[in-house]
Amino acid sequence: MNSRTIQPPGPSRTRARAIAAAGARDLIGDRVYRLGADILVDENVSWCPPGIRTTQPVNCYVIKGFGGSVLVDTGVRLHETEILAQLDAVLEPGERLAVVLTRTEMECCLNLPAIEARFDVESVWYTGGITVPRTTAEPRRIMVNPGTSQLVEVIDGIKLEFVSPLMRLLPTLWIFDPVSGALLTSDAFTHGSYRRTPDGLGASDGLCKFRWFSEADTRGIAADVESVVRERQVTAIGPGYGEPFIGVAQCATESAALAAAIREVGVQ
Amino acid sequence: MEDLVETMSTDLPREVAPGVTWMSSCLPFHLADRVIHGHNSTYLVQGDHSSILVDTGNPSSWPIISRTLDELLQGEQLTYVFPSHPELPHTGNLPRLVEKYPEVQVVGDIRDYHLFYPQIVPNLHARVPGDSIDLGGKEFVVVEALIRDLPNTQWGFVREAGVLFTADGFCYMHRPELDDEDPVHLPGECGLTTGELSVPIAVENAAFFTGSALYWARFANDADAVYDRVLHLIDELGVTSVAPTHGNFISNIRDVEPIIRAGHKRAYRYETAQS
Repeated sequence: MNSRTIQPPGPSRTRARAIAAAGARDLIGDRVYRLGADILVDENVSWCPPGIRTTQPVNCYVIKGFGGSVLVDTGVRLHETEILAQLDAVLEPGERLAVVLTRTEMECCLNLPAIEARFDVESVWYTGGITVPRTTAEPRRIMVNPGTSQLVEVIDGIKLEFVSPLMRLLPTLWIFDPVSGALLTSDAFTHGSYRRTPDGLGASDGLCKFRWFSEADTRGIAADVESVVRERQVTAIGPGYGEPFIGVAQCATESAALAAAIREVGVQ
Repeated sequence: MEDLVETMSTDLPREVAPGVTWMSSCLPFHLADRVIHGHNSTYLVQGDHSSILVDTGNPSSWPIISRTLDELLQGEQLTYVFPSHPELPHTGNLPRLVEKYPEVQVVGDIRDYHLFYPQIVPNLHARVPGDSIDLGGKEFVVVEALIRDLPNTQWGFVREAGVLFTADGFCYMHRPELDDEDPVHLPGECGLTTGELSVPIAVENAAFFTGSALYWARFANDADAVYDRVLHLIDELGVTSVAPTHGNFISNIRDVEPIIRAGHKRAYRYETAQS
């Protein structure tokens, strides 16, 4: 049986209109939704490439299942109102929700208190040693060795692969949904909003945050980026900020371009 | 279920240099086979007419931080907050600090803060390395962070006290249990300076933190270059003590620097169960 044929029931036409009106967008059908809003990326944003001034989406994602949903990251506080409205639209009333944080950094976790206050968040999954600002949800800290992954049933009926990438600043998880093929990549693959060429040559613009690469042997990191995508037949890459990449071929192209950029900037 | 609770050491707060008070809460980390502790420190620098809080502590530690500020400031307003970089242990209490002290100026590299804390935008004031802030009889100087994870990290220095605030630099873990093979800190040592500890910092513990929090050290074999630059900065500024966020206050920097450097070297190609 092909697990990717299993889909949760789609939204009614009314709910679909409400989802669109709230600004949530489907990443992959009715399975994965992209929430959030745009920011201005300029010299006031630390991950802005030199000479760039543009808008960029800051994203979090909802993975829908039969018995509940999983929210991957919670967006920036600037977008709290939008994200709460989008969750209202995407989730059924009373729907169970689990939250997965790809990092315990500010753009990932700061809306957690507001989300907990409005929705029934039963657990918060995260990695690393920093506490998260949750209140009543069960904290589920998970440790995954860099370069490996773990399959976790985050909520009844939704098993996600927690990928621990070598490309990181801090403890980081990439989340792979085997059902849809979506790979949610946190602060990697963030170059989709910048100047780009068809073969993905803008990938280096997504490395501004990773300045340490220039002092490091990055070959293993680059190989890890490529293998994570190649081994999973990724159908969509959803970064924490930046436009997503859709389609197996496009994801492969972008991972190859990002890996090449990582190799080029590093010490060989 | 793991219960993550920070507690203020009974030995703290304490004045560790003239006008510099060390406040800290300690966070237990539950590993597969043991429990270790990590400091999550904040420092209050008080001059004749102004004060600056270096880092804010985690949101979960707000009640004890707020109470301690009440005791130390004795009714005065906090003038400045210097969040070294935008991570929860360093900035997580910014909204509460602004609510408690509406006129407080948040100073430093403030890139991204408008996204994370839009409610404090009026309080944000950008500072770059070399800028100084007059506290009255003391000056807080913004310094380039030579060891960091996030790009928008800064260090600070108070010349009159000789204290360099290094955020995630010069950090290390400690755990309170004695272990025959890895003797580290005894219970009750959380509030001691490194010069007061009966057992030196273990290189392995420095490596553990470096490999986990300064992940790049696993791939960059540059410890000597990094710490040579740090030593140059220490000489240039006249640093006598180092105040890290995650570790005991370092009162004997010349003794401790080689240990942290060795830990940094050991972190290269380091493997841990920490993701």
